[in-house]
Formats: sequence, C-alpha cells, structure tokens
Amino acid sequence: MVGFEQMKGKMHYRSFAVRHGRRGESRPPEASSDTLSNMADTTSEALTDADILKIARLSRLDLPESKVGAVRTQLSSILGHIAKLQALPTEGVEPMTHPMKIVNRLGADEPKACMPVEELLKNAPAVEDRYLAVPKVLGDGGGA
Amino acid sequence: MSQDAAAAVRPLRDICADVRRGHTSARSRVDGFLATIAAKDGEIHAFNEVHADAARARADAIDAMVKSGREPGPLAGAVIAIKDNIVMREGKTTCSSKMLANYRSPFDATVIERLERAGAIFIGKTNLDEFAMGSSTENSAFGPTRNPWDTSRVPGGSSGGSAAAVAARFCDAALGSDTGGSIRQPAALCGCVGFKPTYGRVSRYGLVAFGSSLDQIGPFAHSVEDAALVYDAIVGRDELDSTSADAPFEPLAAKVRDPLAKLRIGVPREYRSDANAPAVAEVLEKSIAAARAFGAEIVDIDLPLTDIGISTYYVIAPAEASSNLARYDGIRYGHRAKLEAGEDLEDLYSKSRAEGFGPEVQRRIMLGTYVLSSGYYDAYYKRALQARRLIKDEFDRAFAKCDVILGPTSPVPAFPFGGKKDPLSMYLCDVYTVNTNIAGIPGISINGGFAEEGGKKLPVGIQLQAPAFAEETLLRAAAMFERA
Repeated sequence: MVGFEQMKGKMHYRSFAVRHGRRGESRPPEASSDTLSNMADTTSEALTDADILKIARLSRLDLPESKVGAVRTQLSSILGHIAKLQALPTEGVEPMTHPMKIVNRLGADEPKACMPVEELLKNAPAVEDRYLAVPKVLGDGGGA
Repeated sequence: MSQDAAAAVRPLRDICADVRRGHTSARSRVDGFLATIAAKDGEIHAFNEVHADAARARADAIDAMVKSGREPGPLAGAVIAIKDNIVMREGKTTCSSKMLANYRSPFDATVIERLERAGAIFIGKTNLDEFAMGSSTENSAFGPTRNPWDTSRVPGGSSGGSAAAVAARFCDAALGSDTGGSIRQPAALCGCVGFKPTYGRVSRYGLVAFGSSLDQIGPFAHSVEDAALVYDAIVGRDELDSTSADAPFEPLAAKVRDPLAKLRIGVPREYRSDANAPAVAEVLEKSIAAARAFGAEIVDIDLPLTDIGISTYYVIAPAEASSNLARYDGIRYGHRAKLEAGEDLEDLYSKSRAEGFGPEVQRRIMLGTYVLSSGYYDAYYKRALQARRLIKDEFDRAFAKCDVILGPTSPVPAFPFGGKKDPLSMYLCDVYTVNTNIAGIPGISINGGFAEEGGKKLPVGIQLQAPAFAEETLLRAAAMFERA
C-alpha cells in the first residue's frame, strides 16, 4: 500500500532556531498572498519564521517578509512528509552517494582549445573591457 | 486532436529510409511539421522557440547530401524537438526560467552533436517546469503547456513540452530529461513512449544540471522502436561527462521487434495501491492479463520501500539542486538585479536569484539548503543516502526473481490545471518513478489504455523497469506490451 497521507513530523526543527539564537526575532506569522499556498496550515508551527529567513539567507534568496509565512507552511509540510525517513532502520547501512562506482576517471593530458572569451562574455550581464563587472567587493558601499 | 493522436504513425526507420533514398524530401517533412505547429501550438504551447529557418536550412542540406550520393545517417530527416534545458548554439536555452530568459549557449550538448551526426533535424526547444522542477509544466516562467488530449489538463512534467510535441504530431521524436520521472510521467499523461536509460548511458554534457546523480537524458517517441532509434544515436561514453558509462552497447532499434522467450514480469504488491485512480488500476490489471496472454510469467514481488522513495528523493534532489543552482548569481550569465545605493555584492546575488527563480525552484533550493545545513545533514541527507542504498538493494533482490518490473507510471491520469496546488500533493505524483532514478536503473512508459473523463479520452501509462544496463530486455519487453 502506497501511503499518500501527510505525516506530521516535528522532531528536528526546533533546535534549528534555538541553536542559531534567532527565535523571537521574526515578525508574527501572517496570511500570505502567495497563490501556491492553499493547504491547511497543520504543520507550520514546526519551523519558525526566523528559521525560514535564515534558510533564505543561506540560499542567497532575498525573501520578502510577506512571503515568509507561505514558505514556512510549504517547507514544513514537505519536511513533515520527509520525516518518514526517521523511522527507517539505517544502522550500519553505507550511504550511497551515486549510482555508479567511478573514481578519478582521468582524461589524456593534452592541451585543447578553449572557448573564446568574447563568446563567453556575450551572456554576461555587465562587462568592462574583457572582464565581468561586479559591485565593489571589499570596503564599504556597493553599487553595480 | 485526440483522433489525430490515436492514428497510427509510420515507423521512423521507414521514414528515414525514404529520405535516404530520396523518396521523401526532408524539406517537405519539415514544412509539414512547421504548418502543424503554426496551426496548433498557439493552443498547446509545447514550444518555447521554434527554429523554423534553421530546420528548413538543415533539411535542404540533408536533401542535398542525398542528391549528391552522400550518406546522411540513420536518422536522416528525422525531425526532433529538444527540451529547453539541453543547450544548443541555435536559439536560446532558457530552462523555462526568467533567470535564463536571454541565455545563448556557446556550445552544443553532446546529444545534439550526436543527433546531428546521425542526420536529425532540430525543430525547436520545448517548454518545461522551470529547471525541470515539477510534474505538470505549470512551473514554466513562460506559461504552461496544455495536454493535446484535453487542453484543460496538464501534460505532466517536467518535460511536458516534449511529450505534448510528440503527442500533437509536431515532430517525429523529442528529447527530455528525467530526474525523478520527468520523461516517463509526461509520456504517460500524453499517451506517447518515454524512455529513461540507465544512469550514465547518455552523456549529460550540455544538460543543465538539476540533480547530477539522478539526471538522465532520454527520448520521447510514437513507438518503442522509434525511441530505440533515437537512443541508438545518443548512447555511449563521452569524455566530456565523467559519469558517462563505459558499458558495452549494441544498437537496439533492429532488435526491439524480437519477442523475449520466458519473460518473467514482476508486479510489486505496492504498485497495486488503493491510491491509484480506478482507470489506472484497471489498465494495470489489463496489462497483466495481456502479458499472461503473450506467454510471460507474472511474478508477485514486494518493494516495501516504494513508499519511502518520495521522502528520499525530496532530500537528495533538492540537496543536489541547491548546489547546482548556486552558479546562478547574476555575475557571469543569467538575470542580474538592479541594485539600490548602498547595496553590495551579496545583495546582488540574493536579489538576482529571488527575481530570476520562480517559487518552486526557490522552494527546492531552500529545502536543499536546509537538509544540507549543519546539524541537519545526518538527520536528512545522510539518512536519505542510506535509504538510497536500501532502495537499490531492494531492486537487486527483486530482479533476482524477474526480468522486468511492471506497474503504473503515474497514480493518476492527466489532471486539470491548478489541480495540485500544494507542492506536496504534486510531489506524490512521482511515487512510481522516483525510485528508478534513485537506483539508477532504466525505465520506460508506454501507453496502456485510456481513462474517460468529462467525455474525453485520457491516456494511461504503464511503466517497465529493468536492471542497470538491461535496456535491451526493457525495450523488447515494452514492444511486446505495445503489440499486445
């Protein structure tokens, strides 16, 4: 029997916020206009808004506060389902990172032509001379 | 449309033979497809971009080769659509994402080079769920593709454009990519053949990376034999993909019509789930009866870890995606956000990515980041990799008892747009397809019958899976079902 039921799983989420000391920093949960979020809010207490903001920052995704609640609901629901893994006996099972057993396949040590720089720079959003242009990296201030 | 789609199509090998002999011109075939696309793709939206001029020029070149007595290759004049996450110098490669809306690849994917060498003609780039993340093609930044059988319904995904293009007769065949079912599920929902080879059989060089240990390119076609013909042209080791397999290979297209004697077909108890739609359950039972009738032995098997596949997949795939999609930072290519005064490089990354990626891609990046983050790695990622080993071992034990495994491709036929709004319910559509990728084995979906909904016929797919590198068994068995 394939189970399609959603499981509630809350086991590992709390420590995330606690460990990073972010609990309480966030705004209270609020209704969101995100159209993807129309499911019952059954598990979203598992992750806090602060957790979501932290994950978004680690992901380098600018997340407007208006969307935090919807993202929290969705990620919590998915993680609730994924929590089924916790019940699986895995003692002594070697993790399988890849379906193939290939290690260090080496190519012939022969020089080959590179793609022309001009060709590669055609897709760059900002270029100065033959270089990619980026905002200032060191020191104060930015601006692209 | 459904009447058209139900009519038989000539075998591609006969069509290509006609082109090679000069009995049919490649140009007339391309013009025919372009006319069909012009008439119908406004409604279907299978294509992000149609390469009309390039396809005509290429067809003329093939016809010229034939006239001058040169051999244009086994796929001479075959008109093929390419999923828009496979790079080509021609046109744009967008992954149906705002992030890559204007990206032009400076190189061709290995599969493109190989198909070209075989004489194929590329007709355009097909729509997909953004970065191949989804099961309905609703996640495309350029609007959804509609199912040719019922345009109020999804074509499946993520390769929904490729499946719809084949089903709507916009091309002879198409390429897609399959990370957790993205070839097989849309093939099932659109009533065509969708074939995911063993991991490593086909070079991933030039396939925009999503889940690198799961991704595999494969063909959509009107028949198993047509799919084999395209597969024969793209299979094999490629020094530009270190994970491409060095395994021995013989062309399969000429063999798929040979039936297998003493075929043992495993049917997992878990695949006969109460959660299957009634029409899906019915088609599966009819297929089992058909297999008995063509002389196969039906073996009851158990795959108790079927149910853990979704959980395992939605840890591993987002984890790999969060790493692979880190390259989209607004610096070298792709969308770059405009910064306000005082914003810095990190703001450039975060704003460019938030503006460039759609909601599902952002969700998976965050999910992947979370499961890989300090303190969660062991609980989620490592445990998923252990589950992966257990799932593979379970398949190995099953294949000691049978040659192929039969089941539904999708628990449901094509569903209406907006029918699965919450992400988890969409993920659960992949229950029968994700474990194929997790184990790295080959799988194929062919049409098994039809459901009847709202007065319209909806295709129902059946899936066969085989041990790694047993494509010959898989395709020959699939062809037996096709004839049954």
